[in-house]
Amino acid sequence: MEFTYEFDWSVIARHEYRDYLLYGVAYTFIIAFFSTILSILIGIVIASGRLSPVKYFVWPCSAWVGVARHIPAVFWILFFYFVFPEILPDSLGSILHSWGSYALLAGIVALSIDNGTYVSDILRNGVLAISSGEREAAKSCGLTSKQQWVCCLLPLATRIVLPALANRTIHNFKNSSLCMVIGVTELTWATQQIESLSFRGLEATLVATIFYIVISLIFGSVSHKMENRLNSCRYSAKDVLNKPSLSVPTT
Amino acid sequence: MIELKSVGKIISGKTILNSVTLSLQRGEVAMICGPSGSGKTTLLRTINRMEVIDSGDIMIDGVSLYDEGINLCELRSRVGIVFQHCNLFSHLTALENITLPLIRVKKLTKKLAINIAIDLMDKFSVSHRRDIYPDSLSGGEKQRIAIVRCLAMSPDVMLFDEPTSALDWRLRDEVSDNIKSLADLNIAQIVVTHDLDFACATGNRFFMLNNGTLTEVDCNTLACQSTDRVGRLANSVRQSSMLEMV
Repeated sequence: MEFTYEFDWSVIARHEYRDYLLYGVAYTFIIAFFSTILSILIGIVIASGRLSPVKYFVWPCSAWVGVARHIPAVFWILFFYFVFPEILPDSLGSILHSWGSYALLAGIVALSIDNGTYVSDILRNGVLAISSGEREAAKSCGLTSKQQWVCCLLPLATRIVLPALANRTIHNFKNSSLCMVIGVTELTWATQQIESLSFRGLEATLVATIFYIVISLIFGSVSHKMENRLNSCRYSAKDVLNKPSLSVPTT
Repeated sequence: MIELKSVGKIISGKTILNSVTLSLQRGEVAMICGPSGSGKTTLLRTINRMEVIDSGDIMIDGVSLYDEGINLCELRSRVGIVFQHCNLFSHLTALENITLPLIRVKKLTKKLAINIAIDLMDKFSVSHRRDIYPDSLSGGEKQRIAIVRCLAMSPDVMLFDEPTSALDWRLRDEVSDNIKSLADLNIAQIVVTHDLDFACATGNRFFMLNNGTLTEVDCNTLACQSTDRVGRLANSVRQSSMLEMV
């Protein structure tokens, strides 16, 4: 069997198709950026609810995670685009329907909810994974409970959750392609559009694939750098030692 | 200084501490020995209110820990505790571990805090390890950093939870010397330990905790138990080697 497809890269350079791709990239970034930010906020709220000592916060949040984790992201997208405006009061629903950017908004909210559920689990596990010894040490040296969180528990949890959170963010970035099912003009939708207009889908798909890979790789290395940075020393005693030592009563 | 008045503690139906009474002056070192699970650690943790008691009262300098207006953070900054596993903050260097409570609780400037920390680290000969993270410190170094972290707060009371369990005999002697030198600084100390020889060499008051009941004993009683054990161990070794010969 021979590979007979002849690539014609000039298709992508044609301005109408190139514009599809450029708009696609822009929309992909918009969806990924806003849904990631929103999902982290949702994650923080749900995780705090599950970790809170008040049981009326714990069980709704736990139940939510238990259910929402098993729902596909595409379902959320379809739900927010088709179903959600219907269950609102008529006037509000029709405003949403007639609003041109509603597909984009529905996509962002849907992905935020899908991703936020996972983020909440990551954050909660990060806090639970802090060793009980370090919790006790923070408490026993006289820090107030706010100081315990700010100086010890949150920095410790951040180190634990960062790799998983970075993974999830890359995943969410790629999930932005699912928004094509409701006609958001993001990158994957653009490649399909080019395919159906020019029958040159392979070129467009390859360009999109390389874009997804490159962005994910860049993000991966940035988060890796952040992890390293968190694990490096913030202040050393050298500058203090070089100056003549103050005599300090220690008792 | 420290007064425990018939302290009782029950955890899930089991009596952990049964009317424990203890009074300790500044400069005294109380060694509490006893079998595993006898409530030694729980007793220690009640003294800075990490563990809430069910009956009795605990007073430090005449003030009850269960007074309504008590400031727990201030109390805990005066009652230092060195944990069995040191519990250093893994995201901070040795130096930062020591300066964190100084800066946050005592509100010292960073410079002053670093100076206090380094002076004390010099005394415990760990100042060359100041920029190292706890993961890369040896057991003895962690122990000393944990002691310095407490000591830097200039506490009135220091509590040690099995400070020698992770140390070899040479470091054990060092810890013993350190505890004795802290007694000279007029700090009241309570040390929980399994190690009877260490207890005899270090303390000046001795207690046995058995099934939640605390009794004061003298050093000889402890030493007796210690030699008893050595004798028993020697016997069993002898017997097993005789069995092998047969």
